[in-house]
Amino acid sequence: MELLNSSNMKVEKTAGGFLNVTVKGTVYENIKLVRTFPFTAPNRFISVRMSDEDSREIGLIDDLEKDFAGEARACLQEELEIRYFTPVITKVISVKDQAGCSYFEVDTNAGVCNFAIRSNENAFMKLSETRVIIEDLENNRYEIPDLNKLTSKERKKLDIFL
Amino acid sequence: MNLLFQLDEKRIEKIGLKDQEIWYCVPYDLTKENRYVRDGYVIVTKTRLLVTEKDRILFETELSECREIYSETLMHNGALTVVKKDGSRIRAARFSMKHAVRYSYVGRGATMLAQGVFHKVESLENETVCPKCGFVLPGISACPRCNGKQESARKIREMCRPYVWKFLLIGALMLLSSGVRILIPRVQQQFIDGALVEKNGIMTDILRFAGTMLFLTVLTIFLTVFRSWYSTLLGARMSKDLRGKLFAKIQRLSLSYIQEQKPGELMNRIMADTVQIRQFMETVFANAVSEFVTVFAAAAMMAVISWKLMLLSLVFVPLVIWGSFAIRGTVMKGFRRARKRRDHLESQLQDVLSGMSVVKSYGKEKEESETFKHLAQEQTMVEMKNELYFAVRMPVFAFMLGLGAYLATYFGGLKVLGGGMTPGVLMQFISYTTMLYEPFRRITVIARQFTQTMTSMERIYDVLDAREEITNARNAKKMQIRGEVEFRDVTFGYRSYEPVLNHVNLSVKPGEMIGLVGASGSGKTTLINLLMRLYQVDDGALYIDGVNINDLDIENFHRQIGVVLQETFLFNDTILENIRYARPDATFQEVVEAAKTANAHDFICRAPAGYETYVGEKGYMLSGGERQRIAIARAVLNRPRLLILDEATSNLDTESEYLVQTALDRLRKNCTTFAIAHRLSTLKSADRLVVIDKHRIAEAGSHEELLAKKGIYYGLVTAQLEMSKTQ
Repeated sequence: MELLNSSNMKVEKTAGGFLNVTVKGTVYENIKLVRTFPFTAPNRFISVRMSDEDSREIGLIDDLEKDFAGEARACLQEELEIRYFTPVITKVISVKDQAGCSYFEVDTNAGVCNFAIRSNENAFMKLSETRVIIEDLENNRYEIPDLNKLTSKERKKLDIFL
Repeated sequence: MNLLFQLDEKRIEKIGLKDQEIWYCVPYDLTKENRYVRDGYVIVTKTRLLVTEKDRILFETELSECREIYSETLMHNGALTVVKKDGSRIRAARFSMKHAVRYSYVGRGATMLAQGVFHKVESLENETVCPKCGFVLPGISACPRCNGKQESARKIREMCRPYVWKFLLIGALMLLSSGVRILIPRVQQQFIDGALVEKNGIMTDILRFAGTMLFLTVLTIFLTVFRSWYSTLLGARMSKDLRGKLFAKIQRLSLSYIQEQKPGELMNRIMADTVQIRQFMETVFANAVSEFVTVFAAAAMMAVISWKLMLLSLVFVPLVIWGSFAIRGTVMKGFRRARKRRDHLESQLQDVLSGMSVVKSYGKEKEESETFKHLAQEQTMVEMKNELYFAVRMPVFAFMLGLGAYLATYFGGLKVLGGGMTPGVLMQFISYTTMLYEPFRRITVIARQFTQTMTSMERIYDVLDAREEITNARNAKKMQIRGEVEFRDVTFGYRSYEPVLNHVNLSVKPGEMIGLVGASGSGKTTLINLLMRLYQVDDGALYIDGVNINDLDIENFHRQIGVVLQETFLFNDTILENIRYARPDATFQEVVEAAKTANAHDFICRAPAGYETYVGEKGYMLSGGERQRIAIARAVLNRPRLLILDEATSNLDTESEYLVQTALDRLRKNCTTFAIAHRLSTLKSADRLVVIDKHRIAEAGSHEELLAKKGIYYGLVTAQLEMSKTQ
């Protein structure tokens, strides 16, 4: 396993918003980052891959927080945030049921948004008793990190989906 | 799918695009900082690409400076990425999955413009959600909510038009039966007031009354039976006709339309959606409509007797209607919760049962039992709660509806005592109140049925209204083909933004055998699909005997093609019927000869019922080689001029392969043949080999020529030699 850290990988951000890395003297342009444990350990075992069609692996970052610091870490973190864009639901404004679909209006850390799910499908994925990932009809994902942080009224609205 | 959103004039002017033609204009909804944004659009003109927010330009580039523009797939979102000619890459706009498909088309379209190809990319795919109102579209192309009532009304009209007289007949029956039901209390009233109260009636009065009542009751029964019977009949008829229409239409639609639908989707439309319409006619139309006719008639009669009393007895009706709609949400939720739990339980059961060997070998029986018990317990609780909810609510509603009758009885009774009303009229009035209640109790069920039926209708008409892509040209030619084939600069993709074949040029003489070689996914099967005219060429043209394939009569052309695929499809019928599928009029002699040519005759003779042996569903009773030989016999019987073999022998053992191969060699005489094979040895007899690589023809020539070239073909041959050595 090729482990990458700040001593053997240089990270550089391009003007267009991509990352180039240098490993053992080779420059890899526009690399891809893959979270191998996206839910339980989003910052651990991050696979760094080439941008070509096969997207071969360059190496793995064991722990982003330990193995990188400063600018490089910020760049990697930012790319991960973009790549794994998952708004965190902070408020459930309304849930409406109509003709087999449920329409949600929620406030998230990315702003207010509307989405729909099919009422009969299992759109809610329970990671634990309190943590939920919702995947809507169009494959957007939303996260509720802690159900208990919602008001009981809001939880009641979500009750049937859980 | 809309790729050209309309912006208002003012904004276009501010952005500086006045009087310029906009080729694509699509919304994006994410910023670089991971925030949602409204009112952002990516605009592509003939020469430029702009990313705008409101009337500001955030990014712009000349298309001539770009090498490629593509939709970059991220997790649960995407980005429109511009690759400049110097190789630099820019994420120009980001979007949620809402717009992902749209951007893959726009990326393709903009790249084409950058390369100087001025061809507008269109998307046949349906929107999943209406871009205007956010309504989830049930696999249909236009939003029924935004399209207005007119469209739905047109569909209803169209659906009902062939049955106008039947509808009128049923309508008349409904009016008649309602009329009779309304008449009965009136007869009772006359009897009570005329014969009983005055006590001046005689025996014949009673007999006449009993006779009339009997007659009216029997008449009602007959009318109701006829009404239900005709409605059911009409529903079944409509559903059958729609099914037929749908099936015929689906056969006329292009394969690309069919493949863009989700699996099972079309099946659903033919089966489930038409059933929905039948059920609606049977349950809602037959009963509910006539019940409502009765309600209005009864209410009218009540009003004539005393409008004050009528209002009194109806006082609770709005309450009950409101109540049923109010609990509907809870009831539905309860049902859904129960279904969820049941699904859970079932999938757990399924999981454990199918993985029993794993459970046992790791000694996990106890844990699995516990989990199952827990889930079963949960499910029971939910079901019990639901039942309890119903058990309490339903009698309460029935009672509330009944309350109106009590009020009417009380105040009506007072009126009778005061001499303002006769006892018969009061009886008549009370009879009418009981008629009112039944329909109101079922109002929520009716409302739901109605929406479901409307959805089904939309889905059916979406298929019926779909555009047929491959149709016969006006003067389609029917001709005997010789088998000359020419691909002239053919470009094609199943989705227009993803070409599978690029600029293919190939001309084939009659009787020639062409072997198609290349990695899977390179476009070999696509080439053959185009040749069979299952799809329409995007760019360039395909000629058969010098005639553009689009000008040929489709059916006539298909009759002259023979096809043997890797997975032979045999219908669940006899061997005989399968062989003469294409030519049902073939004689026994022709069938036997075809089977002999296909090396199939001998094994068919071994079967107990000879040629009349049933092949079983999908032909599972036959071995792969046997099925293949039946398919060849089917092709032989068709006397094709053009033969297509797609991996015809790849799933067979050596002996079967030999039998199939010799059969094919016999069939190939007088045929232009296109053969695809992974095992290169099966293409020995090909006159020419065509290597397809990266969506283009990379090499073409005879086996020896290509070996000498030491290119891709050489690589493939040596790789297969290596493989066979190590085995």
